[in-house]
Amino acid sequence: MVKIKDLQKNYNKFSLSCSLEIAPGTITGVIGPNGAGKSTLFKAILGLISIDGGCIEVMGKDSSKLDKADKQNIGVVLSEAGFSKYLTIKDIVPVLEALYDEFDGEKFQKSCERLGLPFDKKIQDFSTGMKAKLKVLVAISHEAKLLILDEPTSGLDVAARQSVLDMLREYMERHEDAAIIISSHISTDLENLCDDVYLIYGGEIVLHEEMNVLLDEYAILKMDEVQYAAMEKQYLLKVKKEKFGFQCLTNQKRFYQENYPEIVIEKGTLDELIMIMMKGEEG
Amino acid sequence: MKGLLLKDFRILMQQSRTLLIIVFIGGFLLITGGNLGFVVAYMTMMTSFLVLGTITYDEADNGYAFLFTLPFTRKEYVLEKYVFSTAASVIVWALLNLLFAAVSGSGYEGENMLEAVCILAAIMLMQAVMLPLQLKYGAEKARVVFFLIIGGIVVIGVLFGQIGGLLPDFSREFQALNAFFTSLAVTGIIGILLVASVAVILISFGISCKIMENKQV
Repeated sequence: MVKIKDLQKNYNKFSLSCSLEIAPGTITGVIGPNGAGKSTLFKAILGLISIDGGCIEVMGKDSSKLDKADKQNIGVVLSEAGFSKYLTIKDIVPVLEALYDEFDGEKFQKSCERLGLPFDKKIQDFSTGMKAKLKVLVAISHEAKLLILDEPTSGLDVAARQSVLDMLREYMERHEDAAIIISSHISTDLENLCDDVYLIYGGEIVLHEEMNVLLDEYAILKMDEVQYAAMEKQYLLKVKKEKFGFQCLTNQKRFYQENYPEIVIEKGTLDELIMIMMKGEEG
Repeated sequence: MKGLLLKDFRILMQQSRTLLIIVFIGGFLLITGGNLGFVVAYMTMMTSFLVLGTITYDEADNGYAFLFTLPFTRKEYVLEKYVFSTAASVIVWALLNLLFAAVSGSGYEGENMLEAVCILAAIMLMQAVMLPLQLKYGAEKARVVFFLIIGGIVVIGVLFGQIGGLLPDFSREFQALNAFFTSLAVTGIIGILLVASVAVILISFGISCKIMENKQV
């Protein structure tokens, strides 16, 4: 659905260089701290910015050449952009109806009602949660094959975040061949949603892994200096010096469980794995 | 295109209060014996400013980034702005002229018609300059650049007047030009004005398309 090869985008003080692939029927997460390059990556996929190198293919087409028909099949949430805040839902329904062939106004309005979104209120008077829900509803309102969602849960409380994530799960159940690429700096959002995940840091992809592998095979090892010195380091991805000794990231949890039963092996949350991936030294 | 027109119309309706103020001031000018031509020019110009203002709404809060993910091309976006602004100005201009013609009971011929067309051509020219400026620089900067251009033209005019004596004598060419226009029937001049307006708008449209194609959002 999306293929990015050696993408290069340079700004004065920031460069993005990455490759990634999103297959139909999958939800791909992009995780990284603020300023890591997630939004730049999404804008490049959408052809909103020019690129300095590499190529981006979206549904078999160069992303800079996406036309009207292609965009009918793409639903988008951008973190800090949407319809003019002076408009109401009542205003945007006829606009969407005129723009998208597959937009179902009645269904959209029912969804708005279900989520408690007022029709006559200007978007600027919506709460953060309401704005986020509206953005996601718009993105999934026209039977898109590809959803590109940049921080759709940003600034939301737990309940609102769950409600947005549920909307996406339901969408994928109804559209088995669709694909979603979703970014978040809240990794727990993506833990139960994504099939695979890319960790982006400083403009580079520092990790790509299937979510179940990441949660099952990756682990954080904690040990003192003597244990570290005696340890087989072949399967250590990252090492971080701590007060107590060392904290290491591995993608071969079982190997260490079997051979080093004396060290502490923690499954680790996605956040912890990410932290050590970003802050640790090469193993 | 239809979706974009609907969006802009809805945004324009957000400014219905400003529209009412324009109508109120126009009415006031008429009652106090203002010149009909001036009232038409004022009201059409203000409507045109309001319509151009929809670009400000589009670009606010990173709006372009989201807008350009919707199913239309950047060229269509530009085309819609030209269609919407030209249509709004022409409709307001035509309605006002028809209204005044009906109220005054006099036909719109000769000098009156020429004056009306001159007003429309001037507004089209203003739009043709303002649209690419707004798309390129955004509303605030565009206004500054627009007034700088007007100021620049005035300064050049004044300078030209000052150093006119030093320049080669063009009086014969000016006389010829003057004679040419005098020889034309009013309809001829109106025709030339309209054709020139369309040409300027087309050139402006081409420039705007280039600006938007290269815009990083």
